Amino acid sequence: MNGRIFRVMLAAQARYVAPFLALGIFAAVAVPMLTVQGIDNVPHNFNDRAGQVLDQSTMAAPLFPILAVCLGCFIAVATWLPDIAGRWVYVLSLPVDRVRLAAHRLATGVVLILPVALALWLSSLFAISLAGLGAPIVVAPGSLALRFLLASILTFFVVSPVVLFSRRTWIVLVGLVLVAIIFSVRLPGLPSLIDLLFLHEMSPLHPLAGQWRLFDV
Amino acid sequence: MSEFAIRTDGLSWRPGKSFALDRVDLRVPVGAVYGFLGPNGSGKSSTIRAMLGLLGGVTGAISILDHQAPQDLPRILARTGYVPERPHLYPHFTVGQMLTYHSAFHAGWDPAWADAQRARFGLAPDREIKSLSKGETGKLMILLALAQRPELLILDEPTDGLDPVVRRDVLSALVEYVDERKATVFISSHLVHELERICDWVGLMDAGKLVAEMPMGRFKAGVRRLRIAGPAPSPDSAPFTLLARETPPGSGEEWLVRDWNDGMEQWFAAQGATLREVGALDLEEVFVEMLRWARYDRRGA
Repeated sequence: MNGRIFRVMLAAQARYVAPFLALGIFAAVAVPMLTVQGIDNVPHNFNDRAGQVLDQSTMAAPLFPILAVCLGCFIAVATWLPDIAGRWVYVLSLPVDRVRLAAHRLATGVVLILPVALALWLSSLFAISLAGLGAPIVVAPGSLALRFLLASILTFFVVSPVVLFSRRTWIVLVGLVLVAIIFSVRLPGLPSLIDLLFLHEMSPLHPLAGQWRLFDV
Repeated sequence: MSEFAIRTDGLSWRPGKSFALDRVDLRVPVGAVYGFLGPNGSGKSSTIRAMLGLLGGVTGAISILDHQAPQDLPRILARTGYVPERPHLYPHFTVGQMLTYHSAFHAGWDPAWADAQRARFGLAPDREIKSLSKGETGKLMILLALAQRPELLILDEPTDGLDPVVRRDVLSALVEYVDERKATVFISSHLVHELERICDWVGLMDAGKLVAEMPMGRFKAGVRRLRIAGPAPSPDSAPFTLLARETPPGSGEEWLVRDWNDGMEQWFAAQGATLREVGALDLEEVFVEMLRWARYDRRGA
């Protein structure tokens, strides 16, 4: 029975997010291709080539965590939105323990992130093979795709409870964000909101920060 | 098994400063078709939502099908079909997808019956739920509740806003099911005539309180309008309960009484008064008078 419940929940969720998931897969394919765009044309001189390849990799690097954050946020919203819109009446009248129901919902979200991460990995492999990168350039399509998967799942798990906040909590949260923005503008010495969210080591989104290079030297 | 399919003791809910539900003690006998009456805003839907664990901060004891709520809700919901006041199905689903989805959660789901009933209701499986009319959504809701073959049906205004044809279809399906399965039905409505035809028990809510609960026969038969000629006696020693008294133009009084039985006319003779007429009331009149009495009683208290 549990397996069937999970399957119907996954199928329903997949139908709900299908157009946006397709967009996510498209982006996951496009970003690695963008990273290697024009690498064929760089000079074969060792220093110049390595430098330009690194520049190219660095330029595209922010796109990976941005895509992971967007994907995690979107899947989190899409996972809970139908129940929020229905004021939880239908879902809470189903004969399933609420903790188990939440676990099923979270599991469907994780499964839906998988094809995007898989697309990113395959596209990275393809892009690297097209670019013909040799030593001393080191490629990391597997670890980048794994990092992307974990980052998307992390965002999904962090954003899910935020989505479930009540309207009152949302108002308080938006108020706090506005206060933080206003104070950051007035007192330039304070860290920005982005820094707090991603760079502060206590932030759950801290693992998203850092370099996300498809290749390095 | 207990004699009650639903039993609440001191069920209360206080979302703000005042009680929305105030010590509601329900007793719904097994196998009964229990009509839960009350004006809009009287607390009918809140009672149902409180029983099914859809409200926070509820106090009191709730027993449904011998399980305690909210602790045993999954077991309760596995044996209970629930039709909420407002349908909250997933609008992007088709009818077929909704049936498949719902069936996965209910071990007793009867796919053949569900398919036959879907065809009977004229619900195409590929229609999106957001495109269904109010009547079609009402039919789908009752179909989802019945196809899981529940022992208890909790229906919150299931026919509210439906046209007479759809209402008849929905109630027919319900009556057929109850005849076949001997299920207990707890149905809330403010459409009194609708419940008069199908219910054998009645509970009356007003301002968050259960003001009356009795078999339908007693509810209808025990309330009478009496016309008294000449000076009326004091009702203090009366064997019935005086709900209201009015003095119409002319002479005499009109009394509205409950707990009336044949033979009580003699009490008037013993008091030296003349009882000219004993009139029966239809359910709607009884409903209105009971509410009036309950409100008068509360003000008096």
